[in-house]
Amino acid sequence: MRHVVVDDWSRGASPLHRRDPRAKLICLLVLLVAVNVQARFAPALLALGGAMVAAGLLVAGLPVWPFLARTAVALPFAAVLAATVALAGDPARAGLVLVRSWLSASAILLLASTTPLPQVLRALRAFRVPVLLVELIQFIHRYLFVLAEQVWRMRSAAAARGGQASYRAAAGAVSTLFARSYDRAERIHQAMLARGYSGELPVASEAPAREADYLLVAAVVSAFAAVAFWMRSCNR
Amino acid sequence: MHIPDGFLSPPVWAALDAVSLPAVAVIARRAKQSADEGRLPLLGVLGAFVFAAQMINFPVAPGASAHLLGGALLACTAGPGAGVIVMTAVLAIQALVFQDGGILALGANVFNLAIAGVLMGYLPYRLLAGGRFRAAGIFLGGAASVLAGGFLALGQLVLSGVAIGETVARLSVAFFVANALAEGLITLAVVRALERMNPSFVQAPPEALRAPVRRLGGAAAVLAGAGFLIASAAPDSLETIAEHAGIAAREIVLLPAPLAGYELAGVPVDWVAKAVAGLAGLVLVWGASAMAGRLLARRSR
Repeated sequence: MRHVVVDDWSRGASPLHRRDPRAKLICLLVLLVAVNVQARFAPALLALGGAMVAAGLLVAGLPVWPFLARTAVALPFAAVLAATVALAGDPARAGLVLVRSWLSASAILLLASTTPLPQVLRALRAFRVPVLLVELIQFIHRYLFVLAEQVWRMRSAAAARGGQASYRAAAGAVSTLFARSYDRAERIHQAMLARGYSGELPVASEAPAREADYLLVAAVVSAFAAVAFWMRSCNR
Repeated sequence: MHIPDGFLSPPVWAALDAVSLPAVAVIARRAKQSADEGRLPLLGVLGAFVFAAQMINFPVAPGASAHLLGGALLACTAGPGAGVIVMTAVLAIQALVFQDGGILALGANVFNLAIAGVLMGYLPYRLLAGGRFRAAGIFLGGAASVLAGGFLALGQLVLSGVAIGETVARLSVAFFVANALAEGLITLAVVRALERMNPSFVQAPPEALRAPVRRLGGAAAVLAGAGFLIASAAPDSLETIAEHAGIAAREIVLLPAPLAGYELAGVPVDWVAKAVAGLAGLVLVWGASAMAGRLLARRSR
């Protein structure tokens, strides 16, 4: 699956990978808000946001072209809206829409590529996101792999028997797929319960935030604040 | 694709975040209390299936494709409360891992698909499940969830200042309707298949509403959605008197309302603007009355 690559990237060991996921999540939110706020000096904030994402990309040591290719996935959709806006007579706004959505997607991808999903979910729990939601995200994310594996097995079995693709066959296959996935999930769940699963996956050790994490958040927040104040005073 | 960051204006996405996140938190807490542990695998598999279904695009018009949403399916199998949480989980995974939908816009996507989509998918099922029209209830649930999600998204874009021309508006409506029909049919087929496999997969509907309640609900929906066709366009008595007495100019608007004048502003297709406003108002009033009723019932115990 395509996103398995992002999973691999997220297991790196660069200084950015080693930052506390809570700090990285706060930085992401600050960046997204700064980039998506409407102001006359929006281009300056956008430029700063872009510079931050580029810096993060370099520090994390991620491959540049594959990263950019993934951020471009949402571009066609944004291009359609930008075209609608431009045709309605506001090309500046159309450009802003394109740049904003591309930059936001890059920032989110940067977080996903430097933080394994279980760590992101731990950060969400630290921010009081409901347990049920976090556990479901964890389960669904893993079941996607289970599902993909089942589909691959059924397809190779069908191909080995000379199967024909048809709607009826597909409908039957989907039902069987559901039944098998559910059985397997049920067995895994029972196994977890037998091993003492109490509704939340326990964490081995919550590493406390280090100075570098606080520095990262402070740097991001003060950079945006500084640019915002400077641009406002310049415009007076 | 879901709404990415950069499409909506800050008041719109901030307001939707402020509404959706607490709503999801409350629903999650109640779902956790009422659901037993054994349901988690079913919810997880349903979520994975809805995720996979959303990746399948089917053509609805030359040059345009739509994808399934799965809100009604979740409502029928996991129930409305758990369905909201499962859909929120799917949207969160799509935003975080697949960059499909923004993080700031997550509140908007959750509101459109997880809250409105799942609940509008549940409503026809709840109303019609006990009687002969169960299949129609499931089909209408699928259609209603797509229409609700689509029009809400369109409205949010319009509120954010994106000028939707008339052609684009008509095209969007056509796509939504095509998508809604497909979703209704597929939801019905999948729910039937699941029932045959194991009847406990599908949520047993609570006792059917009495016929008068159902008829009243149906009549209300028709009136709200299509009543403007027979309504007079002349101003009502209060407005007429205000005009004649010369005090109409004293009107002050304290807060701009999204559905001012019972119309969705900015949508050039007139009947869409009125129908959406009417139905949105109906759903809001119904929701508020239901919640007030629950609170009062709890107090009186």
